[in-house]
Amino acid sequence: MRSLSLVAFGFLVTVAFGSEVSVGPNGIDSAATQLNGSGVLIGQVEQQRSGKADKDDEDHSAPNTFPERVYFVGTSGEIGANIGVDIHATLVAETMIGKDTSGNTYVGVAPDARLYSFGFGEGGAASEEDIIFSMNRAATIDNSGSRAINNSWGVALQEPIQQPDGTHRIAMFLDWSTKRDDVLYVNAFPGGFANEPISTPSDSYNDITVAASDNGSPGLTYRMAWNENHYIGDAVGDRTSVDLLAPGTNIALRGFSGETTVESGTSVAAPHVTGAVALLQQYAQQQIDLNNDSFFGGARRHEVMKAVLLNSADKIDGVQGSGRTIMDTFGRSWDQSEAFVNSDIPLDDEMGAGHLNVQRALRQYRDGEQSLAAPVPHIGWDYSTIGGEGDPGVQYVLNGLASGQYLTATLVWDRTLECTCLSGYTTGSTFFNSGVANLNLRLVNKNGGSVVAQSVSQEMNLEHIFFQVQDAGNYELQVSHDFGDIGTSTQFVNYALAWWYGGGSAPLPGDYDRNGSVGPEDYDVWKSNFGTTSVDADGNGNGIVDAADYTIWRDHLGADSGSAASVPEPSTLLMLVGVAAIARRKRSTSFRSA
Amino acid sequence: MKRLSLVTWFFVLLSATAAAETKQIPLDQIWGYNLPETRDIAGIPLPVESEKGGREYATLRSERERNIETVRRSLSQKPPAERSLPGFVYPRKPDFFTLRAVASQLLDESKNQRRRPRTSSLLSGNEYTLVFFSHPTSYYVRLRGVERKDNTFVVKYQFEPHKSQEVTTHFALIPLGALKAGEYHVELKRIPERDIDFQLVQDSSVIVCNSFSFKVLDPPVYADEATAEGASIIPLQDIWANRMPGTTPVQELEDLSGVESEKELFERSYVLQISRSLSRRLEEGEETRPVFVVAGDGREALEKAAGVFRGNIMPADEFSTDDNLTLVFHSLQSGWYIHLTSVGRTEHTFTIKYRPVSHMTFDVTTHFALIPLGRLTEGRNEVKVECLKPAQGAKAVVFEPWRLVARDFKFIVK
Repeated sequence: MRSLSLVAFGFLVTVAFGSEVSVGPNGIDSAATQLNGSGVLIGQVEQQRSGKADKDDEDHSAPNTFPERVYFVGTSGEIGANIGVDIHATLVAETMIGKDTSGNTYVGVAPDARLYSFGFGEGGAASEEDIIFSMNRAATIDNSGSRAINNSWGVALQEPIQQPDGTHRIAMFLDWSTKRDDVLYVNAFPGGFANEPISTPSDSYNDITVAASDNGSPGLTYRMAWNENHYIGDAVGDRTSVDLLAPGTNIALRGFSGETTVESGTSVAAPHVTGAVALLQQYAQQQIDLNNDSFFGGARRHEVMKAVLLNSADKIDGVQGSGRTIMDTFGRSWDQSEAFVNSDIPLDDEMGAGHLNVQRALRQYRDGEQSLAAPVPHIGWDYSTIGGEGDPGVQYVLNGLASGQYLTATLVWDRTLECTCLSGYTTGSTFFNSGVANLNLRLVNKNGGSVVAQSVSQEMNLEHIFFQVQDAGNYELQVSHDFGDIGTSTQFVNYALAWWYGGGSAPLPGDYDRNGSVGPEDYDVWKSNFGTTSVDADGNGNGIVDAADYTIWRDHLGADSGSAASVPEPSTLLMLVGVAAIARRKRSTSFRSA
Repeated sequence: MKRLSLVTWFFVLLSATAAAETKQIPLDQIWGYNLPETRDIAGIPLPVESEKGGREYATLRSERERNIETVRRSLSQKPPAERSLPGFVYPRKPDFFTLRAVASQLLDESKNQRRRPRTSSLLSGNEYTLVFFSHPTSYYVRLRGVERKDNTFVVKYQFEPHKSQEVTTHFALIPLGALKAGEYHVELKRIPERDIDFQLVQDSSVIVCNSFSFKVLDPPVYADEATAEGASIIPLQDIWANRMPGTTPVQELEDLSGVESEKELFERSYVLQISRSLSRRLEEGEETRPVFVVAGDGREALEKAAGVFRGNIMPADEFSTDDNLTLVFHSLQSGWYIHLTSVGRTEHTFTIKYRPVSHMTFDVTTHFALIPLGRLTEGRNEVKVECLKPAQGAKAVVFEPWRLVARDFKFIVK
């Protein structure tokens, strides 16, 4: 039970709730990962800054929201108490990092992430330059910069003279900064009845744009595209803006002075995704700290984050462990969308790739970067480079696809831009030579070489295949750089590819041999990996196979298969714990000497 | 004054009547695609330097061609047997940018049989373009005239057989000029074909866009910020409200101790119940409800207000002099913040003034306020709701109080 304090009748009472639905299995299922974003720097940029509970007074802060630093307009150091705060920024921050200050659970997605909150100026006073200045600062601060930056706002475009086509300077900066600073911007899709529907930067290319999902009533599963998402704010032409859905209605939060408030809008959908990036980044850092080779190289790249989050999104109940069937505003599911049947359109214009599911995203991500030397595992990702136009590219061998199984694959790369600035952004810099390489993704049946599914959009810097296999056999995923680049061509393109095929089974907790059920054989896997960094039996994803992973296995024993099994004696467990402790000490020693 | 002769009067009246009855929009003022006698839309002028948005003419020329192609392609997407959508109007004179917007709208409609996008209210003073179109057919569609009679526009068209196997689409941007507030009707009228033996195989309603109506409204009139002379003011801090600066948070009226789940929270919190009731959009033709009055104050008023919003209690319009009254002001969910600025009282008239505040952020909010009136003397009371000029922030959209904010109200105290 969660507990939360709020002011009522002038005194504090204890209330047990929070955004438990939006971070739980009916929402994005992040709480179950037991990750908390610890150590990961994320940014928040909007008109005003978030309140900070240990700095601002109770009328200017939510009691559970503690950004690490807060800035306002152009101040070089942190801004003073109570200046430049608003409730919107505070609630958005709370969605990312809200803590339960009176209990041992939390309400935000990544309560221990290090949030830097930047306010670029109130109302109409903020100029385009102020906005870019704040985003640039968030992207580069403390040398390393933020891993992800949340933008729950938009600058209205003057329709029809301006269009959401990625040519506004803010969108161009954002795409340039994404590539240069290796930061993932998470933008809210336009939403809200009276808002100006056409805006930027949700029309940028390299970001993740998040539309809101609706659960109808409090406590229910988020599965419907919210009907207040402004779909006419979609990018022009055949390009679609929405990448993901995340909870955006009935989000119960604590406002100023701890007052109960419920927030709706794409403003609160986006920070669910930003928080999810913090969790994945935390996991990556854990693996890097453990010298896991699979997490050196591209693991923390923004393209990888985007590919992983999109590829693991929920679409259809029962497919690849998804627990919900999502619907657009017409009540159509993803397999009834144009994106499902039209290879020119990778994502649905309302649902994007689907609904954010952090549990599945971690499953997608946790085995690290995969080698091409052999058939790739059923679930994985790769970060690689392809040559210029005409490069036939890279093949990923997928063996043993069964009839009826689904394959999901997502290919992500950057739109490129150049800047008049030489080293880092400077005020007034402009952007030019925009280019979108024409990378394509095809699924080829190795028995005969026919292309059975493809994603070959002309205008997007993303391809996505969601395909139900008809003929069992071995297949290849082909990434190619075809002729037809838009704008300036590039000689090589970095890309991230994520895939998930076969089984369709959920990342069943405790299923360490991944046979779709939790049984004695999983205990054997846990036992043989105990004390190691193997991902096979690391049930909680904390980077080491330990007693907690045994607990996960024990708690789920019999799941799916229903087989009866005996739980090994605690004495055996205790012995293993001792062995693990020794192993851990040894590893620590070797780290220090390295 | 010089007297007019009867004959002069006759001609003056005749000409005035005739002018009011029918006005032609010449075909050569219409930008058309595949429509002889209209101006070829491929030649619609490119924007002048100040409107280019930093783009080169080569790019703009290319975009113009692409937009025409987009319209043509979008019109080709409709299943052959499905009824055509109605035509529509766009609040701008026909030009390059209107073509861009029309292309975008038709593309949106063609994708996934999308509902027509919601737009802001059409306001008087703007120039308007009527968009006429037809889907692929093995007949030519010919515009034969567009005329205005009062508030009705009649678009006359005719079919002509093709001389080859081709199928064609057609569309036109028809200048309507500036329109005054009112309800307008657009009638699509097929006139007899010149070839008397011509027989249309399909129903014309699946080929050509259909008739429709639209409303043009006057922009909202904003009130003066000053309160009426001699008015007493109800202090903002005495008002319980949801997210209105200067007021006292209405959440402080609730005791939510012991709540154990979000579901229970929503079930127990009147504030959240009211917010949920207000989290909706008006249906077509529906008006916002008036402000209303409940007997009681503080928590009792909150509970009764929640009952009214949930539909469990009918709001009354008669009260006793013994009743301690609370006025309930509210606005539906929107991307505007609604901030109370003052509540003034002169004898039996209460004036609520509020300011809409636009914001760049993508949150939607509902607002309500419990305004304590206390015990009133006998008489007929009037509540006026007045909108101040919006704080525009970064947005340029027009605030539409009729879609969002509670209306005026009258009640009696006996």
